[in-house]
Amino acid sequence: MAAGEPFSAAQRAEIDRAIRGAETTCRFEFSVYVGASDGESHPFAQRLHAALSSPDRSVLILVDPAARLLEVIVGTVVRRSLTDNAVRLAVAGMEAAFAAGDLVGGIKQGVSQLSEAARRPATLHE
Amino acid sequence: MCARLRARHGPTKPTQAGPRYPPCVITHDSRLRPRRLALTLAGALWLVLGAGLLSPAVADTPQSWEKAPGVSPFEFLFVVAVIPLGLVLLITVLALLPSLARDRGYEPGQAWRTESAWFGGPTRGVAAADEVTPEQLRAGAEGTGSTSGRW
Repeated sequence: MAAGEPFSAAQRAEIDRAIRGAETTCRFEFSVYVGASDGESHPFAQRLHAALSSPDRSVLILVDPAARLLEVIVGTVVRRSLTDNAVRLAVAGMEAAFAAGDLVGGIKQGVSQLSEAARRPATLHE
Repeated sequence: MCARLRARHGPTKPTQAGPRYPPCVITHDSRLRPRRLALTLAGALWLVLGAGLLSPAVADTPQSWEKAPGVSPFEFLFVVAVIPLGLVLLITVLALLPSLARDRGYEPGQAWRTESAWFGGPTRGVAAADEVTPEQLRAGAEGTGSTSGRW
């Protein structure tokens, strides 16, 4: 492991796999930032979200393990399918996992929960 | 077994309890105890005296042996303390090296290290977020949902 690298190769692969799975499930983009916020966490999360390639179709999860903070920013288009209540539920699940010290597990769980909630039901007729 | 014990003790009055229960209780005959103690002491005394009389203690090295070279205190300390301590350190380092070199990553309950990781972010990383203009930020923030949490 390189000096200062927070996750091992296996852990990075686990998170990448969870993100890929989530994107396949709901066809929206997911991005997870783990680290210290530059200033206030909420504006910083919004800046990160705005820097994504297509912010409207993206969900950004910011986890600051040192400050024990969590921010989820949901793009405009994603928000049509992903309700605020579903996001709050996923955030509560992640908080519980992080409080138990399971950072990687919490991220995986949150990403998959958000993607499941954002999945549109298959329409039988147009 | 009981029969053998009885045979050894001879026709002495049986000291065991009633005939029904327990069937065989061995009791120590208090009359035999002083005799046994005296016998043991006499045997030990004889061994000590005999050994002392037969082979007188010889502490000096034989005359025919070569004179042993003198050992300086430094050499003595080197052999007794420095070499064993060095070996202990070497073995400890060898035992710890594999676990130190293993790629373990973040483990539950650990304090967070300073580096950050961005999965699914732009290739330029956090530098891309610094280049976001206020207009972009305002446009992006409109209609987005945000939820915060802490643990």
